[in-house]
Amino acid sequence: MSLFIEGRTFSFIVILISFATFYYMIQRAKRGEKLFIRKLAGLDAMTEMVGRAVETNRPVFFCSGTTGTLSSSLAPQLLAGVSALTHLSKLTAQNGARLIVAESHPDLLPMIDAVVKTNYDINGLEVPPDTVQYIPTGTSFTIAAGSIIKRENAAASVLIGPFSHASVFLAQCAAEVGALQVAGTARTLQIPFFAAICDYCLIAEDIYVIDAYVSRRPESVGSIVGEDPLKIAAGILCVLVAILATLNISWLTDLLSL
Amino acid sequence: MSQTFRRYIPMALSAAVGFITIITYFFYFPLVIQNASSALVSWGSILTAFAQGLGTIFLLRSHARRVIRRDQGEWIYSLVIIISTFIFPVLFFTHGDTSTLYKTLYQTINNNIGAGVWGILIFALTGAVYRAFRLQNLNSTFLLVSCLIVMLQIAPVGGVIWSGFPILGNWIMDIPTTGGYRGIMVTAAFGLIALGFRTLFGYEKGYLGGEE
Repeated sequence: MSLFIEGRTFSFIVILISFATFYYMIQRAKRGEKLFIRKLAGLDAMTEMVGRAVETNRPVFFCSGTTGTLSSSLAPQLLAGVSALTHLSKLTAQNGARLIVAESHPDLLPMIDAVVKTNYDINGLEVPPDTVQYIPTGTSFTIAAGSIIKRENAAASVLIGPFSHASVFLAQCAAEVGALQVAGTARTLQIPFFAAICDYCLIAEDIYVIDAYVSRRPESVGSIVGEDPLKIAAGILCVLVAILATLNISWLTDLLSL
Repeated sequence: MSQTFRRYIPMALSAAVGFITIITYFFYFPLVIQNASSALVSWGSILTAFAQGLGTIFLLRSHARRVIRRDQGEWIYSLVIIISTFIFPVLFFTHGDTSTLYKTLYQTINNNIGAGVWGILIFALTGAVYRAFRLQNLNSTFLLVSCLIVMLQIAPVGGVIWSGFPILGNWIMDIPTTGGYRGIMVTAAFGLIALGFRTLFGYEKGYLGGEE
């Protein structure tokens, strides 16, 4: 009897190779080697956004997505949203900007609450009332969150996580009040809307590197840089498969479907 | 102690649950381990259901605070939320969810509001399209031209104007668009594996509130 569940052998090999590459890159980063990470303008802009909010005495709005749960396949995107909030709440607490978090995921709520509280505690501050607002997901969330952006006249809006159709509405509300916007999601259908409306757009994998990009720990930098050779290998593999499949040669396709 | 509770226990739990679910996804294991893995996945759903109750308490608490404070222009809406939160469970238990009263209230309020929001989205979309279509550089020109072709492919009038629009539109959707999306998906998958690696080995600290 085979040890592997049928059809999952190649996926396991990919994960093993990926882990080995990340480990190798982390060791290089730990040795002090300077590894290049491209700039993520959206994350760098958060400091400017918070500064603008302080200057204009307007709040910063944050939302970690409008769909998914922590037990669904969208959980990594939700955690990416929490990482973004960690960075943002640190900046708002340090600079004295008002933060409004509209949260539609009840399972994420304790985490969101704790993240904001931790960063305000570190700066010796109390979390102002109504900083984290729970609004049940669905139509009510779309309308309520959009209304908060407009009513509070947000200076900046950060939308990072798994979004549904509400992405257009929220981004448009923020654009109407002239808010500086950073938005990111790995849901491919929503990326074009964010790209069209927002000032900065984090596309797919960009949202997974927020904590690593901001912290610049060798372990984090190494794992990000480790993705590059894997992506190049995946690209080469795609081209090879396309050529071989066109020539009716199937050994590589068979190998990938192991 | 609080550091242990807030940081190390969640990290250890995440790693343990992650490892068990990953290895049982790839390998055949004795039934007891397979069942343990399935149970862990089910716990996620149970916790989510429990969190719904927690969310309701959070919602009621924050809106009750607004009503007590008589927040200008807001407290009346908070009162509506509190009343609505209780009306539906009460009606469910007294009349059942198939009763005319329950259905009427739900359909006349919730469904209409939902339809209204979808209507508003059209205006938001128009705004987004306007921003995307502004000719600023070569990229936005490509976007504008390809969007116009795809629109003419979908709109029946496109085929009447020129029979090539449907063919060209289909080609744009099937070849460059699908290729682009797949590229995004492949890179996102590697990003996800890297995130999983950092979470399993305790390098990812963002979701725990960052570094202290």
